[in-house]
Amino acid sequence: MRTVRPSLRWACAAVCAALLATGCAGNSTSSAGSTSSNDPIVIGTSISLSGAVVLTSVKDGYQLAVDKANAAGGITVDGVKRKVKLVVLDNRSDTNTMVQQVRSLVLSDHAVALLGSCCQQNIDMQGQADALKTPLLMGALPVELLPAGQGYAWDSFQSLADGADKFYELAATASTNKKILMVNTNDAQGKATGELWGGLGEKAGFTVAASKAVPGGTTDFSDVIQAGRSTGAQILIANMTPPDCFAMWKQMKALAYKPKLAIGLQCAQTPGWSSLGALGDGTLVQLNWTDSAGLPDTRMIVDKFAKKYPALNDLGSVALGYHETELLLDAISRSGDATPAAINKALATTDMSSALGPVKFKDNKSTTPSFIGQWENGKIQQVWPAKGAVPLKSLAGLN
Amino acid sequence: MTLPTVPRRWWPASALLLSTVVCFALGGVLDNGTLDLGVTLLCYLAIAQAWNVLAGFGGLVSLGAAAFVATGSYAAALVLVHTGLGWPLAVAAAPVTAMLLSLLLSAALLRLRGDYFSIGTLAIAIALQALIRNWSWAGGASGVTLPADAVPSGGNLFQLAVLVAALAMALTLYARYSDFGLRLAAIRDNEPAAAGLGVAVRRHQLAALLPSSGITGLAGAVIAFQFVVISPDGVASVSWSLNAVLMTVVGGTGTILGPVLGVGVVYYGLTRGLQSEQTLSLVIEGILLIGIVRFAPQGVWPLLCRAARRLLGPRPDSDSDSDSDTGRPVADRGKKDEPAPAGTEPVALDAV
Repeated sequence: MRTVRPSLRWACAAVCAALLATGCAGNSTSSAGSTSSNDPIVIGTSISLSGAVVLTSVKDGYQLAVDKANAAGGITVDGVKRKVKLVVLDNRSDTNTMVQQVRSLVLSDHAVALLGSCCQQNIDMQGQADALKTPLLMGALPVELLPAGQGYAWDSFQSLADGADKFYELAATASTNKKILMVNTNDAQGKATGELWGGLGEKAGFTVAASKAVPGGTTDFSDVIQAGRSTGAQILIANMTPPDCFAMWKQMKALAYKPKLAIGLQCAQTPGWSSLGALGDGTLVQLNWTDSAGLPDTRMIVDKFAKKYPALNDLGSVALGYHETELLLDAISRSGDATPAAINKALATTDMSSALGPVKFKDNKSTTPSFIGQWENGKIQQVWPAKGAVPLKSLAGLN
Repeated sequence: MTLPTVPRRWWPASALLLSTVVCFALGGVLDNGTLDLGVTLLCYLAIAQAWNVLAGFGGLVSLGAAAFVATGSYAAALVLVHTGLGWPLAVAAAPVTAMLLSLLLSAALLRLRGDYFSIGTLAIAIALQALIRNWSWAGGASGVTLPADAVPSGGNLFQLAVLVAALAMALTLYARYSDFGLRLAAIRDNEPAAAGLGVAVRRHQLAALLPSSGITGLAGAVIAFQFVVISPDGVASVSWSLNAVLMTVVGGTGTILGPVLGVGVVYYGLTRGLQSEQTLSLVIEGILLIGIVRFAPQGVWPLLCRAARRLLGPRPDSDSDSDSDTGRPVADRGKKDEPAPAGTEPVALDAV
């Protein structure tokens, strides 16, 4: 047995009590958002750069806009030129990591505004933006899917309804029985997309012959394919992650299911689609940007990134990242003091044209144009709207 | 003058009390960024420590921590959102619900042994995530948004996290120094022998499972308050289970301070320290895990203790190299007979 002096115990207790009192008395921690006018303005993003979704091209777009602003001496805030610092963190496509990184960007790195990631992660990120009262500018989330929040998340991207309408306009020009097989992931985005695309299809004179919801990571699509075959659906709308679409396309070939039109939402935009080789040829894809639509800064984006990203969809992702950052930098410049609250206020009055087209927010949303493209020999070409498009080809990969 | 004697086992308890008070006090002086980081570290510590009690001391290698994190998070969130009750009641609901779940599952789970128990707990975590994803009352795949103004944040949330982590540490100390812990270790090391000596195996395992899941659920409530928006992809992600295992194995299973070190190395050192180089972080995590399993299966903490002891010279009253002073890998449980405790005071089998 060892011993301890009572006086030492009392001393310890006294120290404990003093510390406890300090803690209880001073529970008003200061907000970490203020910076002096000489410091660079910090904006941050937690984006998927590894794991299931890789958004390197979007990140390049973010960096392109920041580099352009800094090359011009920075952005002007209240008459003073200030440099911009972009902090990019890779969240491994993991929601928990994303939440922790977003919090660290705002609370530790003092980011005054955030840029989004993609898809469901944007929805999760919105809650953090609202909780931290820091503006978040996102794309890669159809505007209909932005939940009603507390006003700190801003979405400038294409509309599901617009994309669906364009697809059905195109599908009406092809010779099909107008029966649809619809496959969606069973998450929020998948469900909402399925309901909206299905409803608009019925309105446009198409029939949803079979609709299936599958969890992310599904590898066996035999029952889905069987549903398509048994109902005779000649149009396939697949709204899934890339690996799931890859698996389904391979199984469709193996099980000899041959729809006449197929569109891959979310999945066919990825550069990995070309790894399917001839199997992926003819698959349709919804695009947010093309180089033939006459959108602002197209030449600069193509000149800088056409070598690194030969595929149209990747260049579209660069344009998306550039577009988001341009909108944010414009709002910071107009905010007057570059504080989160002022930037958020300035975003509401945005009225400018950027890489994806004109932007004016209404209820924190601004719709950008949609295009339909088609894969052929590892490349995407615009097939709709007709202006600047090439003719629609048959779904060669599965037929 | 005779001095009152204090048993050696009270020292860790006193140290825990002092650290808790100091950390609690820090809630009032640290900046928001540090407080937020602290909440994350303390939640990981509570989850890792709860896993440590179950696996390190009880020999039940669970991969189901995520199920209890999710249960605690959702219980707290749903109480707040659907009943309008205050956050203290939401916090109280979290461990109760998690313990009820573990009680419900224990009838089936505690019949499983070894790898089958691990697979069973993993299956439950995955099934629960799927269930929540399809449960519209709980927000389905979109999750639940907590009323940000009605939950503690900043220093108050940090102080809540300190209390939860302290509870987890206290549970570990109890498992380490109590008669109950000794019997639990006996079951872990040789279940038939322990049963033969009259130890009620199922009852002791349940007694370890219940508080372990309760503390994990409690940590889940703190995570829900921190995240504000909880979704099945977040709080029900299997990554909570994997992190609990990784952090404890790296630090040292069956030890008290091992998980503390593990949380620091894995989260602060790798995940956070290399957050702009996540691929590198994952590679290092993998190499670290392989290295530890291969070369130091007891974890880093016992290794450091042994190295320190060698540097400082052997203690006169202990055998420095015996298993009785170091944590033992979970995989080795039951392969060696433990020495019988000597004296009247319960002797723990693993290192502090």
